[in-house]
Amino acid sequence: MRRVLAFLLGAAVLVDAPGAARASGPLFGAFVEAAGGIDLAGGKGIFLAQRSRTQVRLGATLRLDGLPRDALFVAALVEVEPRPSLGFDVQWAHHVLPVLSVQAGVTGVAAPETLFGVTGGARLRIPLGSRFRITAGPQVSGYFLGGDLPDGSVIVQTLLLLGTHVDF
Amino acid sequence: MSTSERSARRAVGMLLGMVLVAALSSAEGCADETQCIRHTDCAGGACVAGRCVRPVADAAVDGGADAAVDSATGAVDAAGDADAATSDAADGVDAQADAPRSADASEADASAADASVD
Repeated sequence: MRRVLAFLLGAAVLVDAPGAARASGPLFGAFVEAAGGIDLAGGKGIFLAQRSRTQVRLGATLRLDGLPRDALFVAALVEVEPRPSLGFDVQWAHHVLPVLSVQAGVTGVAAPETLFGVTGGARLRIPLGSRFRITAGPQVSGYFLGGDLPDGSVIVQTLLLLGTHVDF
Repeated sequence: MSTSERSARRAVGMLLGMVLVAALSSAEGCADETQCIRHTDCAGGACVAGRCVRPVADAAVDGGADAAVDSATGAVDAAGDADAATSDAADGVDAQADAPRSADASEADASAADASVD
């Protein structure tokens, strides 16, 4: 945990260097988030709960001039433990407050087995400087398709995410 | 307190609650390693009804091995029976051979030897 915080603060110092001019037109950004939580699985009279696989999301954001309160998030999703896998996450975010956004989209795992679903959540965005933010928030995903899913079951995943976001 | 501050406080409270739930679920969820919700939760197996099961191929191999052991054991037993029969037959032949040489041999003994050969 200390390493994560040190990384976040270090990144804030490096990225938020003075003198960097904001680009006009589309605004690009990048983010990295770590997540953990709980998975609830149900189907055919079975209801189970277990700890979610720890996730790391590494992605990019795109904001358009005409939509200053909206952003597109595209991320690679890596489940790192207890079993590794690689997936994706595409979400549309809308800032309801300067420090709070809600977002929704699709998510999935592509390897070693497939798993697809929809996702939605919120992010508290704590600014550190003009371009750097610490982000934290909940995210709920529902997985209902894919070869990794036992027959007739669905998984509802509730995660808590903590990360960093920078606007270029 | 402004609206944004109230929203921020609610968000923080919600996050803390989620952390607590996740911690509790983690403590219980790891206790049973055979529990699964995804096929890839099971090392080399499949997730069926929330439990890891071995692939059908592995079970077939194990079953085949058991059957082979049973067959081998049966074969050994049969071979043992055959040896015993051979030994009995040899005893019968010996008895038959001894019968004419023995002055005291009775016909009943010779009959018994014939029966053993048969």
